[in-house]
Amino acid sequence: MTNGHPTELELELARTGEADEATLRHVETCTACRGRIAFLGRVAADLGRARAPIPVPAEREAAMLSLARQDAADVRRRLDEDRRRSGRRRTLLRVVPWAAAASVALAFGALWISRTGETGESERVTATIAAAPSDASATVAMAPAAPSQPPTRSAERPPAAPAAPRVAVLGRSPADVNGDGRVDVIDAYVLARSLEGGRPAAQWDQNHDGRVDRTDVDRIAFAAVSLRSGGAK
Amino acid sequence: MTPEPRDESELVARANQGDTAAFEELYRRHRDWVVSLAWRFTGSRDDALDVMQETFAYLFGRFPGFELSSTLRAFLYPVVKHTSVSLARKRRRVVSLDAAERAQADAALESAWQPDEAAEFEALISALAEGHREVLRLRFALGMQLEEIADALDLPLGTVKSRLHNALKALKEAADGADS
Repeated sequence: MTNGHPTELELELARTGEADEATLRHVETCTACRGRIAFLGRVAADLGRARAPIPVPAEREAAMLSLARQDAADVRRRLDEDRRRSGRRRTLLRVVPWAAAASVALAFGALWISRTGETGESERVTATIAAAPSDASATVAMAPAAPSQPPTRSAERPPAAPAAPRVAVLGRSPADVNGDGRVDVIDAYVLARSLEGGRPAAQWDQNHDGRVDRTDVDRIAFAAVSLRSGGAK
Repeated sequence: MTPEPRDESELVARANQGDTAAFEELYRRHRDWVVSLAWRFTGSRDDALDVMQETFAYLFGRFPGFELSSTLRAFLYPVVKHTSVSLARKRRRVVSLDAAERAQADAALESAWQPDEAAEFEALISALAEGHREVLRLRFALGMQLEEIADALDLPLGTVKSRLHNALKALKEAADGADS
């Protein structure tokens, strides 16, 4: 307010109903201010006088609508691409840690083989693994083994044929941690994870030393790599 | 069939999802306003239609990911203005070698609004500074609110209020002077 009257800006806001209540109340009772608002109304009417609209030619209108449709389709295409890309990224994020863990386990197994191979440990551990089943149900037979043959311990077994790298597990081996019917590096990995979680089952005690620890993981890893490479001795 | 969105921000949200109807609705809603504004800037019907086409091509190109911070008119105003000025610059065939003349011509292009000769107050407004004139035109000719003007001109709201206040004061004094 200046000199008890609203400013030009406040009056302009009063013209459009945007002014505060005090200004609007003042304007209701002040003839001078209403006159100024009327002037502002004349200016607005004069400057805002609508010109005759420019008709958009039919072909230009069609071109604009076509552009709108094309651009909308382009937006959808780009969003689909983004979704596919982020889906691939999510899959990769899920797979990569597992692949990395499996690689580490494989590398660890290979390292173990190379170290134990030098010291003659290989034969001893293999024999231990093969002899490990304390329950009679878990016995290992090398393929191709005649189904009629009785289960044999590996120490008594004839040398495995190099063409039969896979181990068929009859019953459940104590080394088959994940219970998929095979002893492989995944079993070593699963046992390692369960060690990290602090909840290893006593049945995975591979070396029968009364506890489940890293040496049991090592034994499974070694057995898996050794047997799969045809090295069951 | 999806319901017709009424709210501008909802329209923009749907256009961000690639909704064809939202694109068409945005065009239909603002087409006449854009053409009319472009006509005021260019003074030519054909040029106004070209500006309209370029303006919407620019707007559509902002999707997806377009965020509306104010009204769409506040977003479109500088686009229409700059497109009009660029077109006028292209149309200008003779370019002066004199720097001062070139600057003067460029300044004339920047305040490209074509005065309405028939308007009673046009002469009074033309005497004002360009900054005041533009705020006054956005307010009176385009009926924009103060916040919308601030967004359209990328100015603080306080600056817009101050310019409008001074412009109205100057206009009142000029009108009083003309009457006496």
